[in-house]
Amino acid sequence: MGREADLLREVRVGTGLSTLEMAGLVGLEPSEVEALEQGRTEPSTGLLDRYARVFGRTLQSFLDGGASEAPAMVLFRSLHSEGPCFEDLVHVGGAQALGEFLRCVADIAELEVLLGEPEAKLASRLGRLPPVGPGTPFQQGERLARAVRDALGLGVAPVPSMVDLFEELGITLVWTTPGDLHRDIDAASVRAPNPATLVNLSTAASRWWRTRMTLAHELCHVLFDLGEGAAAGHGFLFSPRTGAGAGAPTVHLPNALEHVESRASAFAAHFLAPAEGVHDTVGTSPPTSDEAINAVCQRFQIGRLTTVNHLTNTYRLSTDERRAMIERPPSEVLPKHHPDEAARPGMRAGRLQDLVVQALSAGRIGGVRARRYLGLALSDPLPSDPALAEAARAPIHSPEHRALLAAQRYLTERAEYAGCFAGAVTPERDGYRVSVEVPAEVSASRQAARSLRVSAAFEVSPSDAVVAAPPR
Amino acid sequence: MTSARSPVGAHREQGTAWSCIAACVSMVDEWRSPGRGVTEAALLAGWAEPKTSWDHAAAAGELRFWDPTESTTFERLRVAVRVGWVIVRLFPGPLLHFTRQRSPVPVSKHGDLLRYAEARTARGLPHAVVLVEAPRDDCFCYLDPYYPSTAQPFSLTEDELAEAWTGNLVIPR
Repeated sequence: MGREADLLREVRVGTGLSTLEMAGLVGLEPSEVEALEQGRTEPSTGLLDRYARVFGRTLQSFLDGGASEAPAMVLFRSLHSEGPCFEDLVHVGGAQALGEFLRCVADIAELEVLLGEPEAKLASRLGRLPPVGPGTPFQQGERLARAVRDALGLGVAPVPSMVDLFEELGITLVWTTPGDLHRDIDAASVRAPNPATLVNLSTAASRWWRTRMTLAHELCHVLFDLGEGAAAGHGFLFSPRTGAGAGAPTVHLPNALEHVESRASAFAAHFLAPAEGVHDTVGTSPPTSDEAINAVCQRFQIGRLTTVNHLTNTYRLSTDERRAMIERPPSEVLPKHHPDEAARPGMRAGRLQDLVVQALSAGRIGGVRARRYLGLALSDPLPSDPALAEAARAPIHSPEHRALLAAQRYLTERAEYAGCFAGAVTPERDGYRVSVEVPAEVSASRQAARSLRVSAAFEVSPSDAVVAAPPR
Repeated sequence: MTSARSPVGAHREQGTAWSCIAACVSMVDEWRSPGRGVTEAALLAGWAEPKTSWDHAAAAGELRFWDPTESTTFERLRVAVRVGWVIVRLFPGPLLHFTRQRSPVPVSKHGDLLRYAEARTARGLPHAVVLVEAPRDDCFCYLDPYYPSTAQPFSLTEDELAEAWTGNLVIPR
């Protein structure tokens, strides 16, 4: 279709990508991208959806030309200006997963409007926050953390739960795992249409102190780095894994964004453990001692490495002192369970799934739309939920119906079956038999099967060939 | 669709029980060239046997198959319908079931739509209709040549269309 071919080309050119780069993003060969853009091959709906996902748009929005204003487009342009950064993202397959996050956020916002949910309350809860201001990333992060703590009335007290704080501020949390997003991308955040943060549970969910740091880091992005006129100039940012942990990071950011990342890390440390509170907690203990480290860990519910770095900065400890602190065997001082233990990983689980169930139960959306929101096929059942009756969960397309559709497609794509159509579907061992209905006016001399075999994987083959007597 | 013309003006009732494809092509042509559209009879006269073959719908545009099992397919279809009319082919069993739920129930001079069986899930010769509007995210309006113009365009919800659609479509040139 010419319109779709033109759109695919416009999107690629508008982002400044070569066919090679676009091919990398959507998992095609460059020659396949060229064929699509020239209208020589028609994209499947699934492939168009991959394009839409990369730009963080629903298929409908993408086909309506929505990619040109997508936050992902701005980020791609920024990364693309520093080649290796863009290649890093493509290499780890990050664009598809991050785009999926943006789509989830848009879907959540759409459902919230449909259900008449109140708008996000970020601004009303925090009031007017100060600008980022001058200084090093460390100084900026410390200053901003203090401002947010003041706005929240936290003083120097610990933050009981970052998850609860995000909920209170109206920032949607989406959880994923390295199965869907490469482990070298820790998190991502977006400000519009509603503020939201994606957290990659790249370490076990039980290491909740790491989740707390990630959330505090992303809070800085949401509050200070995203949106119109914000420091980073982007609508959407992702946070690569830093050097801590296994192996060297494989995803890097342009220099300008590295500065933003450093500031967010400083913010996170000071937001979770303000310097005054750290001083009070350490008291008269030597700041390099395990007694000091454990006390800070326990009071502010942060990890040992974060604590050591914090003490190093707060007490201006030397590199050798820091190394010695890290190399000492840690003691288990943090509780096993915490309110910040993540729950319900899966981008389309959690909040999105709850809203879909709510909208479906209220009759505000149908089964097709519910499945689109949840990334399901029409042959999939909806997830189990007490609010949904079994009948409402049942697949729209039974396996027999899928067999019928597969057979119908097979018949309409083959000249020898012109005028024929798929009829009765009979389940068989490992598949189905579908009768081929032949209208009376179709010549009996045509060589064609009178039934089709559809495998359990819905692959179609003629089950028997008949050669009728030649016409007289 | 930006025109304020009512789609019903282009509706044509099919001349025989089996000539829905020719009637749909005729409707699309009438919509594009009001008053000068090619007639169903003229189309049929030029078509080879079997005249019920879906291949003849290529007279209006390119034949496509979009997988109705993918939920995103309906987003793609909605965009296509908002750009222009689309001919689709539906399984007559489910379509008849949904048609009978209308009030008043439309009556065709050709008798019941389903000629091979009566049950809701029964399959017969697929029936062509023209999708003319997608006014909301969960609804498609269509012109059905099997019935008179009265009360048309009819509408199907997205879920109903999902049950009835064969995946065959033509996007007119």
